[in-house]
Amino acid sequence: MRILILLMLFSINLHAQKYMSKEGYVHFFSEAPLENIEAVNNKAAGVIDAETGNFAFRIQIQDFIFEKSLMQEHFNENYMESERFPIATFKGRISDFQTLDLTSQQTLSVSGELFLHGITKKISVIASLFEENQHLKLNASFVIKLEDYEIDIPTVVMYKIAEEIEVDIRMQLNKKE
Amino acid sequence: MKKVLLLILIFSQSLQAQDLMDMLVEEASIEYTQATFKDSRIVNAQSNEQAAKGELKFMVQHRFGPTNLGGYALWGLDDSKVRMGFEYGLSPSIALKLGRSSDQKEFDLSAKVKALKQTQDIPFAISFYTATFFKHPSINERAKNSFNWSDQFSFANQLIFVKKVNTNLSFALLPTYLIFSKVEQANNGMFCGVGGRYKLFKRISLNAEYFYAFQEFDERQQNNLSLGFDIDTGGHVFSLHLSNSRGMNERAFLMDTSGNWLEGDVYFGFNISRVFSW
Repeated sequence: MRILILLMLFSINLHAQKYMSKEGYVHFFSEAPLENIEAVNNKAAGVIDAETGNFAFRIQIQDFIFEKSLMQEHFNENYMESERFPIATFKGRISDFQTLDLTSQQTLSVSGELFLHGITKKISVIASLFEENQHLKLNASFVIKLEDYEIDIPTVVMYKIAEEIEVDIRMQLNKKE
Repeated sequence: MKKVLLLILIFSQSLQAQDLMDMLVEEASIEYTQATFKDSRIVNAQSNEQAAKGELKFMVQHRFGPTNLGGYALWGLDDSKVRMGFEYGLSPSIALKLGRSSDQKEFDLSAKVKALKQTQDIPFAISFYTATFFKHPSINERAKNSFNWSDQFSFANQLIFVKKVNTNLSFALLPTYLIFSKVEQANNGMFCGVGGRYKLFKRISLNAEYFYAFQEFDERQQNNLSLGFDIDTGGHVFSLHLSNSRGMNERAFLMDTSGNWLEGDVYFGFNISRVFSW
């Protein structure tokens, strides 16, 4: 009984220390014969729980900015269908987060669930972490296969789109008590 | 008690990933509705779409002869009128257009301004459209005693109300005021257009529009009714349609429409628009 209460207290305590950001940078790139397709989202939100290693990331699809507004419209309207699927998330757990020595850069493979275009898939991401002045610096990159998320590539379009898209992420997460 | 605590413990553990996710949810930022229509025009009528800042849009429009001419004239395809036009996005909310129709050698210069954008809180959008039309007079016309330069000009002012109901369905309401050189007793007129589109597939929509004239200028006059498809190929929009009007600017399709749908006086036409940006 006491142990349970202790555990309870401990589990409440688990909420205590977190790293958080709401201004992460997400960039994707796809090489295409006519013109490359790329966009940036500077409003990615992310949180990592320091005790458990649980993490969650969230972006709004409409926040992706393209150089060409027509491409941005097509991205939202025809490919991502952002009115139906306004957000994408990535969540999971870094199993040995507490034992990581973050004073030097650590590179690890993190697996989690990516929710995109209404579909959830398990993916693994190569991420590097480094802590400096109460900030956790995160870099990550991964590849998305459009087919996995049922994002159609039409045959009669001008922008020939690659079937795989490279995504990279840069984020500085601030320590929160 | 023990069980309850254990349950709470398990529950509080399993909630965590979701709890973290909830921490990230911001108060929703303003989401502007986009892609209410596929192109700047529904068929002949203006939609609220326009060239984005720095974008140049080129549009070629064709209107063929009446389809009821029969096979000898290839159902009107032998005879075509053309309008070529450019549209440039001066700012995110202002676009300027310049065009010329082969019919009546008429130039049009216009501006479209976004006044209100639809968002999750504002249920519709408003744009304002103003246009000046100029008929290029021939030397013979200019030699006439009755010739007057000011008679070559007409003007249109229009409010464009649009509502994107959902991804597929959008509506437009278009109160329009036209000033033109004197026809019988009148030199101005009020019209009201309604239009809409329904997306049949992701890249193909069915479009329709109708203009009601609040006054009659001559007995042959008909209200403009047009039906068509927009096909978006990502860079080009192809629009194929049937209309009882051959005019490709407001003065022409509001004043000069004489085709009667019931008698088969309809014209096949297409628009092709292409966006250039750099």
